Amino acid sequence: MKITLHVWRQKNKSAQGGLKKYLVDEVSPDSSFLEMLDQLNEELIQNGEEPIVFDHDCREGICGSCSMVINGRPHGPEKGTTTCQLHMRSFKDGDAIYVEPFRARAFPVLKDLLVDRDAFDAIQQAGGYVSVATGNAPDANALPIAKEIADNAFNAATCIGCGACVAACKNSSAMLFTSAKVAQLSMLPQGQPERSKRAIAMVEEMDKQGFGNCSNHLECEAACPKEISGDNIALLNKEYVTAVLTSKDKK
Amino acid sequence: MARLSSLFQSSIGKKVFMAITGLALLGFVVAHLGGNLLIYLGQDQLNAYGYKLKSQPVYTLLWFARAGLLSIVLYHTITGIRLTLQNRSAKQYAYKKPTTLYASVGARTMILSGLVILSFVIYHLLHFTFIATDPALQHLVDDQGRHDIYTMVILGFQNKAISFFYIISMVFLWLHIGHGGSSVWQSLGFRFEKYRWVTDNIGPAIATFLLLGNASIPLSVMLGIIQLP
Amino acid sequence: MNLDAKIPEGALEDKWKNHKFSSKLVNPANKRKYKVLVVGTGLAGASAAATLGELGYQVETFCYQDSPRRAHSIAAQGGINAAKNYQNDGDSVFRLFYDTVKGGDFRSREANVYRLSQVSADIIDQCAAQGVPFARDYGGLLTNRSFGGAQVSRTFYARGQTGQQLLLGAYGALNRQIDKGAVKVHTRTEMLDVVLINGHAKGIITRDLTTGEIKRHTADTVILATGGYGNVFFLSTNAKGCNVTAAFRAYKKGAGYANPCFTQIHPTCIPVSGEHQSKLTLMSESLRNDGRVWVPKKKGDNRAPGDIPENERDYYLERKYPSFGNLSPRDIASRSAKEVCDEGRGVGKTGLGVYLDFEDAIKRVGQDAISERYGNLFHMYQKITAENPYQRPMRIYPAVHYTMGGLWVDYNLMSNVPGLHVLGEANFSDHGANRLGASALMQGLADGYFVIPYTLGNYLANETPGSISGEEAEFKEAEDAVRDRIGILSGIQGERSVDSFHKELGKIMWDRCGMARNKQGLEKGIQEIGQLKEEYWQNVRVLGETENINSGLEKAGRVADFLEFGEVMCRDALAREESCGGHFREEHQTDEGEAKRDDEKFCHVSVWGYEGENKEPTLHKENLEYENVKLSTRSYK
Repeated sequence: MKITLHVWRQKNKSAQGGLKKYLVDEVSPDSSFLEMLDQLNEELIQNGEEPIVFDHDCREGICGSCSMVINGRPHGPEKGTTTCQLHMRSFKDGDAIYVEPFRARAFPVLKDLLVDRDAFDAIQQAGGYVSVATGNAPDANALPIAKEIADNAFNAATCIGCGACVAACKNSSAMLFTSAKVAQLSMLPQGQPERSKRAIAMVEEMDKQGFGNCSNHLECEAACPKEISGDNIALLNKEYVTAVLTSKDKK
Repeated sequence: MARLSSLFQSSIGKKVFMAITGLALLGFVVAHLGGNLLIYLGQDQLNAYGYKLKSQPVYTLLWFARAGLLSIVLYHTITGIRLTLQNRSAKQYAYKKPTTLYASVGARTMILSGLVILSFVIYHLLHFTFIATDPALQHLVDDQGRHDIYTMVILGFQNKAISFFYIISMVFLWLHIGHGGSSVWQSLGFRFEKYRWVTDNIGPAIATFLLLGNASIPLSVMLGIIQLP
Repeated sequence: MNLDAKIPEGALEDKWKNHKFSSKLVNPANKRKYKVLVVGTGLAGASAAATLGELGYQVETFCYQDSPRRAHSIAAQGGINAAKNYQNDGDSVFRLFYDTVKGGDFRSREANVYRLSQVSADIIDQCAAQGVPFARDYGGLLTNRSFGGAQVSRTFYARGQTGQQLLLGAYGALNRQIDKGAVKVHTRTEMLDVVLINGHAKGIITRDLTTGEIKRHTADTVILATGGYGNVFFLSTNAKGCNVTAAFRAYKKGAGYANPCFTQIHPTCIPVSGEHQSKLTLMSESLRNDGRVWVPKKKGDNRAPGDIPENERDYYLERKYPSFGNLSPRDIASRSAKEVCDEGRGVGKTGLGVYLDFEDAIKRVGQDAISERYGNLFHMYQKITAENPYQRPMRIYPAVHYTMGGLWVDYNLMSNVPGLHVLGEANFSDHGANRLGASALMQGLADGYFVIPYTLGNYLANETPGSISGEEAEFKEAEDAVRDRIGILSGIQGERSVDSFHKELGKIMWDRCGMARNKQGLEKGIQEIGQLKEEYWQNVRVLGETENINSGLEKAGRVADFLEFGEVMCRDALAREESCGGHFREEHQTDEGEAKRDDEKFCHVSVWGYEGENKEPTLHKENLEYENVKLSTRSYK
């Protein structure tokens, strides 16, 4: 296959970036999108041009590192698929493909296609956990959990924290991410003691990090490579408001 | 109190208040349409309804309701604008090849449709409430001495440009409520798989009902279905 | 090299209890004076950092990824073993211990493995309490599945993403400590050297991968939880960033490297499709619970699988190993696949593949049940190959997956360098010559949650906290060396990219030190690696600035270490004149082609010590003593 790429190149965080055109020839339809970029990078190195920088690691769709927008869509055209699992057979010979970094004020571009997603960690650090110190746990089967609840919690827990939801959102809202994290723990009995505190803390942190507001467009749900349900956002709305109205915390 | 104010400032809180005020406005719009449709029952019914609204104690209550509505409109508008500005600054950069995966046209144009509706409301108030735009509509009285709303509406809509503006505005209202009428349930935390068919369809359904109901009046006037007494 | 394993006295089942009691304690008020550096944030690193933070130590963690949550433990699919016996099928701590020792082909340390089995149950309790969404049955209790190399169902799982769920649990525990200020995280930071003061590990040198800043970090002790070295093969199931640098730097500073030739080739991976391939994708071993492995009986039979009648199929695992069948351990299943492909009976375009067929299982339990169990794996397979495994059998082939070898550690998980502790896949201790499925997650979390928090005191109690300033000559020396190396690598400006060298090294390793090894090949391999290494330092091309994000530079340092490490691996494989577990020497096999161990000469851990630039490393041995299990020929027939 022959592919024309328009790739965002940006030298560093403060530099002005722009799209640059590249031609890649002899692309195997069986190669992944990232392998196609590897191929391009190999050529760039041969030509003395710095290779394109992008985040990637596991290349099997679970670490959540890859973070590029392909033809305006985070992770590209295949539903429920991360960039690393996207294969060139999803494109046609002669296609022109635009490759841009995830965009959000809260995810500044550090170089080329690589963005800073520390804001997600900050949200998690604000309360996305159950406070149980090592060694204090009762027998795992002492607390039965209905399969339906466990399955629902699991569905929320499949979030890989890639940030495609933010990238797809016209407002760069992090609601789908935050809501999946809150939902998992608020559904499970283990998460009950800190339920209110967690919802408030995580939403406050999310707002502080400079994400936009949710407009219920559900672009996030459509872009999510793990197909996390937008219903979690409704759940978070309810959790948060209930928490603010009922919690005894000062805040 | 501190808690409540943090609710007001948070992204979710703002959305929730947008939903609540939106719902209140939706309720008003639906009730208003109910009043409007009385025109099809004839001059007497419509004018009688108008007379009732202006007689005590309803009239005093009406002013309270108007004050409430006004503040709701103000909140809904200002917050809508603030949210839009915040959201734009949160995105900062548009993709070279923008795509939409799911969101409807209505969802993506809420601020536009909202502002069009706002300007419509202002005009509509000047047109039919304060009767400030057209001297021919002033001082109309029916044979029982009541304010002749019926004649006023028909005379008003005989102007094709005005009717057209009304109809276009109703299309924007349709867009706005088509998204808003469903979106409120998500904002208020009521969207589950089981009832999603209800919540996702209720907005477009109400919006369509409003569009048909409201737009039918200027159309009926222009087509001569409703005529001067 | 001092290789005292410090195995506690007493009966096997009392050793850990006795050791915990006799271990030195650090007074709670003093704990906060000690600084611990934890390198790596996978299951072992994150759980250790979180737990040590909870105990009150000052902890700093480092990871090369942009978030601790992305460490490669996240990709583990199948499950985690624990001797809970929830299924009432006869499991026990001893049975898990025995299976693990046997699965490792009697090349692991008894006491360590027993301790692992003992704490395994606590891990499940801990993770369940954190909200890890393990699979449950309709009664709400945890459910289990069976896994290769075991005849009981002791594997806990979370669909096909157990690793992600466990890591998110540990990441949650870590976040809690970060929130409290007990742990500080350095993301996008790579450790490039360990610093020894008076022979003790007292700090590290790092490079900030965003700014290129080289920095010294002082500590009272250093913990490496930096994973395995599978990427020495270039193509493996490891994440692209996984590397041996941290462990290899420690080796160069005197830490012994144990059993580096023990690498696990996982039997169920998606076959290579072409030259462009950058990594291999694992299909969880749990698939072998329901899938049947077969190849055509005839050579070069290229009919579609559905057209090959039952009597022309060879279900070779069921045929050769009737009692374990498709659930034979990984090394055996992998080698059998290689055998049938070598015979010319492999399937797919390349002929390097065997079928994993779900037809019978779908007939038996229905497609829904299969989808419930393996839905995401089937989905992933379809993504990669564009074939529907519900309708057409999967094609699988072995791929490098896990490395049992690692830095040598004693019972306290401390290497022979005082103060340098090593956890998880980065150490060598628990899996012998072959790891059983679902044991890696168990070991990582055991080390981090339940072992190091107790054993760390044995080292720290004798140390004065905060005695290191970072201004010592050793720090300056190490920092200068790191800077020099970066300068040299980026200054070569040769003709070839780092990846091209890495691919070439990978090919050498796979051909010479892969699934089957022999003396001649290994010697050739050592020679080839030597030449490649020489060319590397003259002809590698690293572009871009050193004080900016520079993926080429990052890779260049890692591949430089892989090149040296590959040689140590080959030397280890050459020295081990026996076949055991994942290490198969063609010269040492039975008439039936099974691995032939030599317990008389090789029942030991081979520990390699660095002797200096371009010098052959020296081999040291820790003899393995089996007091509780009888060394027997491993049979899965």
